[in-house]
Amino acid sequence: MPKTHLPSLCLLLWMMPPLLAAPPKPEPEGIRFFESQVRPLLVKRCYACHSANADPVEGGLRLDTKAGWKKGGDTGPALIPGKPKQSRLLTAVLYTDEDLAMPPDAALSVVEVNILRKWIAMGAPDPRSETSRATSTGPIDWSTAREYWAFRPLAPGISPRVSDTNWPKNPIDRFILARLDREGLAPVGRASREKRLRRLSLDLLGLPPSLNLRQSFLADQRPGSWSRLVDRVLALPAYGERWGRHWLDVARYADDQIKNEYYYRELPNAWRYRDWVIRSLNADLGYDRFITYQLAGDLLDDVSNHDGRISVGLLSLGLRYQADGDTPDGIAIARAETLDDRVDTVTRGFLALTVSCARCHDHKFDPIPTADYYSLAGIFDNTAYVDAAPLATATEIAARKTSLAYVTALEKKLAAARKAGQQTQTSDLATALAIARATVPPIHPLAHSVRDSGSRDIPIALRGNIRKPGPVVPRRFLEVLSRQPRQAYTTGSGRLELARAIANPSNPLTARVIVNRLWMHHFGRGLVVTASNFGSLGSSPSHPRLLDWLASRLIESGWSLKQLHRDILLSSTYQLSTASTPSHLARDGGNHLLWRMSRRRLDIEAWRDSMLAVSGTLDPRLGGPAAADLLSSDRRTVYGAVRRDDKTGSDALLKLFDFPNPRTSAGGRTTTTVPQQQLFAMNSPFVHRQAKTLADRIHTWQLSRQQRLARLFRLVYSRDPSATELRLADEFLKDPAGARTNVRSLSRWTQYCQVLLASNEFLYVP
Amino acid sequence: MTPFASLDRRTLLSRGTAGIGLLGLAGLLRSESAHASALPLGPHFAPRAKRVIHLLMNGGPSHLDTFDPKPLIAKYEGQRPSTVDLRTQRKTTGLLKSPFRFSQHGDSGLWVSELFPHVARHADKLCLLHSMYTDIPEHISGLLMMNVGANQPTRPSVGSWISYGLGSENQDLPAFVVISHRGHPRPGPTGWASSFLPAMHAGAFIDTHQLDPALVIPDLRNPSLSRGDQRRQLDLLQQMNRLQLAREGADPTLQSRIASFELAFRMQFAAPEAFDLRQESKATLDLYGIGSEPTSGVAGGRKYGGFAEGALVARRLSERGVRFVQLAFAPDIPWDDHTDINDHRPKAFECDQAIAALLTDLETQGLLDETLVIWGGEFGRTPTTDVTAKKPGRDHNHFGFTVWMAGGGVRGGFRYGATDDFGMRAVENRTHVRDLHATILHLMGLDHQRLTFRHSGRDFRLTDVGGRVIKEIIA
Repeated sequence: MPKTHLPSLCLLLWMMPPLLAAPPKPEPEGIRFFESQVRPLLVKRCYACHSANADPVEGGLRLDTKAGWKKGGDTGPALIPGKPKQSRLLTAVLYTDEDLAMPPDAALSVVEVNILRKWIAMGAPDPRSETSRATSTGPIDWSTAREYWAFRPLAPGISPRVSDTNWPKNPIDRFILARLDREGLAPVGRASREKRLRRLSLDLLGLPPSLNLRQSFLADQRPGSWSRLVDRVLALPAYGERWGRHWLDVARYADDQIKNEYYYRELPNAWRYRDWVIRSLNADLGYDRFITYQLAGDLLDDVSNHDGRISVGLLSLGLRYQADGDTPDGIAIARAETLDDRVDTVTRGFLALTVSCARCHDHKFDPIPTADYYSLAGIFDNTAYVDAAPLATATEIAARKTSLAYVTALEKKLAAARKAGQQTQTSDLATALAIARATVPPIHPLAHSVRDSGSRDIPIALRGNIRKPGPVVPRRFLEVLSRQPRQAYTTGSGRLELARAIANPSNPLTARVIVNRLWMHHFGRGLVVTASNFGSLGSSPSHPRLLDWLASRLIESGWSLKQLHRDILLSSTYQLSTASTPSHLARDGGNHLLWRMSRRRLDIEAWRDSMLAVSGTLDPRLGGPAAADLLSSDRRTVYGAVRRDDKTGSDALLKLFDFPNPRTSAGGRTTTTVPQQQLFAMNSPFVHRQAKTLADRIHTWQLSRQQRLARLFRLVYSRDPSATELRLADEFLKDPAGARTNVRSLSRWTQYCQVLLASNEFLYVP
Repeated sequence: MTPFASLDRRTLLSRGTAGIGLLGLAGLLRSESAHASALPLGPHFAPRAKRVIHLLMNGGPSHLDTFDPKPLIAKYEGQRPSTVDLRTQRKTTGLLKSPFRFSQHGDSGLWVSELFPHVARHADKLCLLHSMYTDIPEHISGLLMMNVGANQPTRPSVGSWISYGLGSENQDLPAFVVISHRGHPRPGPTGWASSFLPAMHAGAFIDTHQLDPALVIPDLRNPSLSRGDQRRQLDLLQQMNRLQLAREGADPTLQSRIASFELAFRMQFAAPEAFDLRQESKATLDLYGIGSEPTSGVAGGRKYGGFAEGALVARRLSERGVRFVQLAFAPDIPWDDHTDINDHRPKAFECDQAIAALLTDLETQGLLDETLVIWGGEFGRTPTTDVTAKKPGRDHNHFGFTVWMAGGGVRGGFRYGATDDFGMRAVENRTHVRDLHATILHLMGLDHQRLTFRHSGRDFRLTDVGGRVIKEIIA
């Protein structure tokens, strides 16, 4: 029997016993009325959603037992015996309250309503005695819940024994090899120096290695050359541009604030947050500080510069929902959605926990009660948006204010003097005014920031509807991650306290989550595949002890991300080639065991930047306001405007190549292959321009054609061309059809360069 | 067996495995068939409709003045009878009778007002859903609910879900296209976003003001090379790609991109034809009411025009296999007639003939049975008078409104559900927008509870935690 038939069968079986087991003694009138009129009505019109067999039991209300309606649903008892007018059940079926109108498919007839009215007036006689089965998830057993792998304390243990003690370069390799040993697989060989160089450069910088870097690395034959290369590349500012962008995916960074196209505004200072992220990574700001700055930078008293007001961009740049009109529901929803964005971004971003799932009901899969959601939402409800926070000291602000006031005063005096026709005074005042104007201090740079606006706890919103408040919950951290009894947050919004709870070595999730993100970007996939969900619907780690080793190492190193990069990059695992054998593929085609380096496609940022880099047009400037159009700009892609609304070709380009939707936090990207992407490579003015510039660049090299091609290959592919490739190039470049030129056509060299930029080899990390 | 070996294709696709290129693999596998579709999961059961044309009446046309006559409003004009709760979230005054005459049409005797004389002739094809309701009486919330099934602008739209579920029947065109004339319907691209679904499932927007396929599909044309020269260049590219493939060993991600270049090459020549209205006969243009220039008008402060061209483009795309075409009546919220309900007249005139022509045209070509046509706004309007009005207009009403469907497996000449005697609230067979969505998916062969996508920790679906297939309206 198909499984889908089971519920209806169960319903039948469940309904039968009371009917069969009718009491033999004469029924009192009330019970008779219930059995003849009320029960059939309830069965027919209410049980589908309000009985033990309903899934879910709507509104938490059951009408199939007496205890069910006595206890009632989310909004309290369903009825008060003897008092129809005060009974919510009757209000609901009367259809006068839109939120409550029941049943939802069609109103009861007048006759049916009157049956219920009469029944309640009679005192609601009800013989049904089955005790109400618990309908909500029972209380969470916290000690069991904390046994889940993600919540357990870090336990790296000792490095495991391995079959080959020469292969491991550091503990990472021992964890990887031990697992491969267990599965009877051996790692493939190491990638060539040229390929490793290219891989490292694309990984860390999002750019192919420059000819200089290549030359010096290949010339360095002393031991430790790889380690020196790693250090050198990690120190380049392009590292922050590349890895900052990875974080900006998580931070759902955008340069605009949008509700719809009729309410649209750019966030002209959003870029300061983007630049702060890049700067922080380049300076190797400890990850614990990185967290604290983003949640509560404005509250830190040790910030001598203005970074703290900028770094909270994580909160201030999130979507701010606004109602489309003045209806109370619309306004309530806008506020609730804004809070949801903050809770979601912070908990998935830092903790890989989907706390937002607990907004309407206790989390169905993870130990997160709804109360915990509102404990966090309350923190953000006390956090106000500041559109233009001046990045200046109080003294500087006061000086400018005074100076501006002086100018205004002079202007008034001047106007008065002119009116009075006092020539001398007019001329004196005009001079004074000119001087005053010239000496007004320039306007301070501004940031989109936040501030604490209060210290109020908020109520749970029943079923997620904040117009239906439940009990008030204190602002505090998640229960499952709190080893000690939780303290309610009392300082302002509680953001600083929240930041300290998240960026805490005793909280095992925070470190696990970030090391997994780093791993994901180095290997194409995290040890936990679902980088923003470590809950039970996420995947479990392929190498749990390695994950814990990395996390412990991060904390021991003072939360240094660069040290973690170094550990990973120096491992043999990272340096494996992408080669494969049929037996490896048959055993673990997905390479979850890391017997080789997985082949990865460059994201749009690295591909576009690489084109600009090899054509020689890449603008090397760091930071600054967003470039409006990536199709015409020569700046790195990370500096292009990120828009929540797709308005321009620039936005369409990002989206076409799987750039994540900046309306919500993104834990990873999908990789799609669609013909429209290839149209961009074939036909877009952007690619044509890069190809032409590259061709022009080649012609400045005073070399033979053969030498030119060799250098071109080293520039574009970081390797020398093969004989076959040289022959193909010769044939193509000599083709008489290519001699045809007109103003719009592309020269053969340009076409050839375009082929290299469009090729698979240029797009994939070796 | 290792734990991950049991991951199914869907799971792998839905997890952000950058660089694994599974989507590419899917594309490659599909490209072996003549009509390669990007990543269709395939229907769950036999579909009744293959394509949808959604005529979005943005702004909220009044059900009381078009398809849902309520004689009692006239009887109690100016009053607020206590037998019905006429309150909405904003203030309105007394009942306002419809200035438009209603009459019965076809064998079915469906009531249609004088605003839609051409559509009325198709009465026996129409399935009127009289008991629609939605959550919030505001345009953006309402349009989001209608387009993406949620009040938040962070969900994929109906067309994206269908594209994700079924793919395109025509690889040369997007699976989901949105059409309007001289601007976006509110709330703009959010209404056709793919959100967390892969970007290929986002709607492609076409402004019929500029029917240039190159604007719909960016970089469709090579500005510099002839077809022959481009082929020669592409041959070199593919040779280089194959050399690399030989060095690296078989790899589906590399192979899929090689195949994708060939698709792209063909697409350049196949796609433009779909948008070329010059290929239509004079008779067809006359049927739709297309003249030498697109129409244009303003009523109630709202611009409209060019609807007929859009309707014809919708048919051309639909017959070429575009799964979901949404044709917006006009930019922004043109049906929002607060200040004078008579402003409905020129707007209905603007679209009546073309809608009827679309139905006729689809029927003549034998396509109506497999094409689901949907007409409706994001909500209806109040039977009472808007207090802001100088002349009598109507306010937003999310408690009850009418949507109709035709073709695609629904019962013609049929009415489902009802509002109360004053047309204020849906009272019989109440149908939430999510029920409409569940039904649309059902007609397309998709189970709304099984069409899911794992994102941010849970399986999302178009109908969220609601949705009921309205089996009663299926033929």
